[in-house]
Amino acid sequence: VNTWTVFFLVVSVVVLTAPWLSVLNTEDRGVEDGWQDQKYRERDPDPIPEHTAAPGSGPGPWEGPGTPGTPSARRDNGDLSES
Amino acid sequence: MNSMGDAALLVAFFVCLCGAGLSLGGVLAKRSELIKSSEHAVYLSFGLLTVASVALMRAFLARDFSLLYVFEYSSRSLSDAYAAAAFWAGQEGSLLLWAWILSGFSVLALRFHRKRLPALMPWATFVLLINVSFFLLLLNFVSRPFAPFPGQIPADGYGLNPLLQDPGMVIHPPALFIGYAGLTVPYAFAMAALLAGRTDASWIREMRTWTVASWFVLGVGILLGAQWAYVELGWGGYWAWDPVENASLMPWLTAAAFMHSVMVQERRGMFKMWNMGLIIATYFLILFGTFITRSGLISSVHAFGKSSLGSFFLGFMILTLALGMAAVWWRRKLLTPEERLRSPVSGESAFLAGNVLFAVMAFSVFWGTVFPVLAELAGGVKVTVGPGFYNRVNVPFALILLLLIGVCPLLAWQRPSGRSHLRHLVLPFFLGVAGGAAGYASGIRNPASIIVMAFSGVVLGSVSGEFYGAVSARKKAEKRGFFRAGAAVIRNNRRRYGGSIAHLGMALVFIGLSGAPLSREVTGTITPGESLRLGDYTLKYLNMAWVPSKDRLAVATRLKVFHDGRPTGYLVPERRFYANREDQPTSEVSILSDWKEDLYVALTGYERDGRASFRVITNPLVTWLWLGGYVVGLGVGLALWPRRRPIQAEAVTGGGS
Repeated sequence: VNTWTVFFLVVSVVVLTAPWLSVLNTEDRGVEDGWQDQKYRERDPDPIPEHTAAPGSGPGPWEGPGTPGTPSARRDNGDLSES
Repeated sequence: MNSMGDAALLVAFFVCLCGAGLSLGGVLAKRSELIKSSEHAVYLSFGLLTVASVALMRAFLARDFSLLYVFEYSSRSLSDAYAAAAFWAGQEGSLLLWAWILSGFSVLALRFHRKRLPALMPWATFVLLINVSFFLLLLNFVSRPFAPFPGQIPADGYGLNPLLQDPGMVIHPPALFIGYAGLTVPYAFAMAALLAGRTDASWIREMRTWTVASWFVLGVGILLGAQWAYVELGWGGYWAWDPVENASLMPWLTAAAFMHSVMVQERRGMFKMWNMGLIIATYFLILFGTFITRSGLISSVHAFGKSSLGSFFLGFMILTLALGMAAVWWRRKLLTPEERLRSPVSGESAFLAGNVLFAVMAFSVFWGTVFPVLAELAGGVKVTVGPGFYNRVNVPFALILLLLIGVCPLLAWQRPSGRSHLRHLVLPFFLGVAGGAAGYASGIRNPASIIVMAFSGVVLGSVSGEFYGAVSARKKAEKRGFFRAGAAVIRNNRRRYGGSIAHLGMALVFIGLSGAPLSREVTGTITPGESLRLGDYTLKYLNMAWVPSKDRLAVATRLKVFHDGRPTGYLVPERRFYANREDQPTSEVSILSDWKEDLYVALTGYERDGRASFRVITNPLVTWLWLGGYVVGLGVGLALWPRRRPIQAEAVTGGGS
């Protein structure tokens, strides 16, 4: 293991975990990932409500409740008003 | 830089394994961010493999002999072009090249098919990453390109095998690896279709370009290998049914069968299980070919020698075959045909017949290749399977295949071809008779060669008759000139006419091959001023010279050639002695070519008093073989020329598990 190994490992960890970070960020879900959401809606017996996949709608369809204050968390608390 | 390359390979291995796991986890747990991560792993592994490849290329160009691999395959006297090509001259570099190409193709597959085949993409990513991981496992723990030279770093390297110092050999291996890696993509999507339970024709449509292009590039690789053997080995032929040659021919045959057979699935929903079997067999044969080349199990002129790599390939090969067969069995209900064969004389039947012929030929080559090993394992008996077996088995099948190439496009789909189709056979029939007669009139007496001439005439008649009919109809309908109508016909159906041109090219290849049994040979030892005669040729030996250059010393002889008493040119065959490899002289043959035949001369021995031994061979029709390759390339290029089409998401109604 040399310096390059550590460097490449760090870069790899960042690149591989980037999609998880973006789930928290929630901005780039939606249009870009719509193809997958659409696919799973078709295959999932319990369809995901349309608004969960919209931009700014909080975590992805299978993550459970979002962080407090996000639209999906408000939804879970019964607050369905648009932010 | 070497430590950077080594580190990149190690990290790439873990990235690929993680990516495969993420892809599988994502698709099973329905987590899109896991799938997204696995896609990042595809890009990342390609980046890391690119870093490793650049590092190794730098080491070769800088003649960095601190690496054992660079020491073994290059030297200071080697030109930069061959030093760069030495990258893939040995096992470690060729595996790295293969892995890099496969990884690059995985990126392309992701870019092109992610939106068109969303349900299959995560599964295909899983299969592709597992394959890249396998190569990276070998590169990191079995066959390391960045292994340091043990002990004091030498001032010069051992040098590249002189036989590999040929332009054809520079391109030949990458062409094979592009073909192998390219065919891995349809295999990955076939497995994805099975695993996802979506066995409709959508993946086949998407994989068409990969299949046809990879099949073609693999064919180019095979042809370049044949050309290299022809000009570099000095025995006068281009194909010896050597196990390593067979290794690349087998997947080419099954890929050809797959490429044609999927057209029936696209049109009629038939042959689904057969197609799955063919693409799995193709990938299995790619691994099998690599296994026999690198295990040392079978001796060959250009095998990589004995190594522990063979057992890894054997294991992976068995695993691939077992999983493939298990997946086909699991999804067998989804692979039932949507229609049945309705007539023995129809397009579908002809495709099936062609497919069976391809498969039988591939199996015969496989059997001839493994039989010596099985015989030795079973009874300790050493058996060799020579060209006689392969020719006896394959020539009749190949002839029927050539006839099918001519007849198949004329048959109707679905229904029996009736009387109306008989008139389309008139032109092919007459051109077939004319071809056979022309062959006989030109002095050919070998029955197989005459049949090739006749059947090639059938192919020409079939293609030209079909094209002429289409152009005439368009000319009449649109009141255009013949050439404009012809251009419009081709433009509107590039796939069909590209295929027709490729078929014409294959007929030319067959004509080239038909010359093999007609070759004649004479050998002799003569002094300057004396002559050798072969048929209508007289070769007068003029002189011998020693020609030194940077990395070698050549013994060159000059002969003046007379054909029917008239001077037609000079031939300069050589024997070359390379620095560090004096014990391994190479024969540099000299060839006079025209459309009828090659006059081929090899210098097989020499004495200091000027006496020289020559092997003189006339090889009829060889030029047609190389020309056929170009024509097939033209047809494939036309068939694959991109057309603008809207992006359509995959049909959601197909298959379903």
